[in-house]
Amino acid sequence: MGVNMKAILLDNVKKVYHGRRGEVAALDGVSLSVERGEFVAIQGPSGSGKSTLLLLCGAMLRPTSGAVAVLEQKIGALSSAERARFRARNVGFVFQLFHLAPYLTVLENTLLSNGAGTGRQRRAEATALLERLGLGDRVRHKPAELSAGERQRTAMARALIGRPPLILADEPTGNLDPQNASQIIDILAEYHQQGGTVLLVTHQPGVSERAQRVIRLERGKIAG
Amino acid sequence: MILRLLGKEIWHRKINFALTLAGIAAAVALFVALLTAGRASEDETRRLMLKMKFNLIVLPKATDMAAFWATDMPQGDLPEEDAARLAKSPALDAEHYVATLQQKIDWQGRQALLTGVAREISSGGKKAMGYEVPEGACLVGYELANALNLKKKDQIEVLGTPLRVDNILVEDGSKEDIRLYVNLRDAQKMLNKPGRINSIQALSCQCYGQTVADLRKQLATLLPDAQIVEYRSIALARAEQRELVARYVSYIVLAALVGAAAWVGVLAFLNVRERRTEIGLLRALGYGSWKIFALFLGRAILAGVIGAAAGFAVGTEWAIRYGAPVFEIVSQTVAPLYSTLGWALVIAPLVAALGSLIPAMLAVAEDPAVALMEE
Repeated sequence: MGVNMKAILLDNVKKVYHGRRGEVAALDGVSLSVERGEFVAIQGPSGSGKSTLLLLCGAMLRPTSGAVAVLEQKIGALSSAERARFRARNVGFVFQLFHLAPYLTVLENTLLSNGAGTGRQRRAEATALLERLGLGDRVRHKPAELSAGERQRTAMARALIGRPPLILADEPTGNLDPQNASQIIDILAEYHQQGGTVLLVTHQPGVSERAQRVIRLERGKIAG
Repeated sequence: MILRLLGKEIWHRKINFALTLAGIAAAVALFVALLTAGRASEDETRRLMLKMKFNLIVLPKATDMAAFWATDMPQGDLPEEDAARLAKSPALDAEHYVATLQQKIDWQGRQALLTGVAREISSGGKKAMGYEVPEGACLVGYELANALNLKKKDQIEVLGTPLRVDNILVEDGSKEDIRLYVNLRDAQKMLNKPGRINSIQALSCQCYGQTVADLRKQLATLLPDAQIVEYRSIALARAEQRELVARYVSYIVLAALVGAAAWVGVLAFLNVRERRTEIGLLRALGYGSWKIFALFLGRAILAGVIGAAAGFAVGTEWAIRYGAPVFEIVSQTVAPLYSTLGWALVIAPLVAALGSLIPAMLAVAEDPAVALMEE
């Protein structure tokens, strides 16, 4: 993972959703730069555009206008298939609601990441990672058999397994108690210390304190 | 990974998959059962036609038709060669010809209808419709056998000729029950009428719509000592029966295919709806459109293949077990039609894939960001 290069660069980005009740500008002229190896938290009230910003950075959305470059790759220029390949190689996602496949075990969910592969070596790596995250005795369990903290740690393992240079976390501690929330942030901090870039959306001040920088979004604009 | 996902997801959502499978299997079972029973039914039609008698009968001109309708017995006789001459002639476009020599006899204190049958002349290698009895053997009507306590393989003597009982005929509820079928040669010997017959029974598929007057005119020059009679109701029944079966089978099969496709489509749509977030997640994890498409289409194709095999087994079993009583088919003629398995294995996955096509396309078109954000 390189340093002194832009991990994320947004230039006057606007994202408009077209709904039944008219247009909604989720992001309205946002410019933002995140260096590689940086740990950035995004805060803001509901509907301020935090999740949209995260999904744009994860090449899940295209901007309505403006430019988005992630790891020096212009997202707007990529086709849907190219963006999928880009995500598989470069981005790890963590969601508030974990989004684990209910029919897969902890180990299988970890290996679900398209960049992870399923070979014997990958399985060994995944097992080691799960053990490191305190899930060594849960590898064969299904999500329904896990606590919320264990589910989120599984989702973290899935995000980390392909060693992507960028982790995008959308309220990863939103459904967790303080102890589990702290564990998740510790994992993210450890990843960051190893050179990874983290862009974290959170409502919780205690969580954003762990980041190097906090960006505040309000009504689709950067407020500070 | 895709195959693992496919298998695990199917196992997780067993009910949806089982319902998909059941729909396909039911359609295939119906298709297989209809075709299997239909094939047997064709054989059965021959048997029914035999039961109803052939639809044309050529009698000696000497036969008084009023007496014939009263007794079913012809008067006078014809040379045996007339059957072959009739079969070769383009005058009558029939498929089966049987020369017979029949007479009412007293045997063992009972009245019996002795009927000598020649080897059937069939056009285009068609399966014989009537009985074929080897020399020295006989087939005994149900009532006659019952009254005289006759069994298969019994040795009997009729008008001085020893005969082996080859079979006892099933109860028919008609004159067939007192009939004694023998080979034409044996009958000619017994009745002392070598080389003679007294009726030619014919089955003509094309006679429906052809007037008896035309047939009579054509026959007058070919067989001047004969007259022809058509069992008109039988001819009509036969034509109508064939048309009806053909029409309804094709409608039912078409409806089953459309119904199965719609059923699979609805279940696939529900599956896509239920898995919106999962699809969004897979997209977020870098799964491309084709992998998502393969996930849903693969599910449908797998259901199609398993449904085809299960449907074939169920349909065949149904046809064998219940087709016979429903269609009044002689049970041994209902046999598995293995060619339908091949067709089912091609058509069912295709129909299932077609049914799942729109839901699979919806899955691919699903905006992952929206799906993930909505949750």
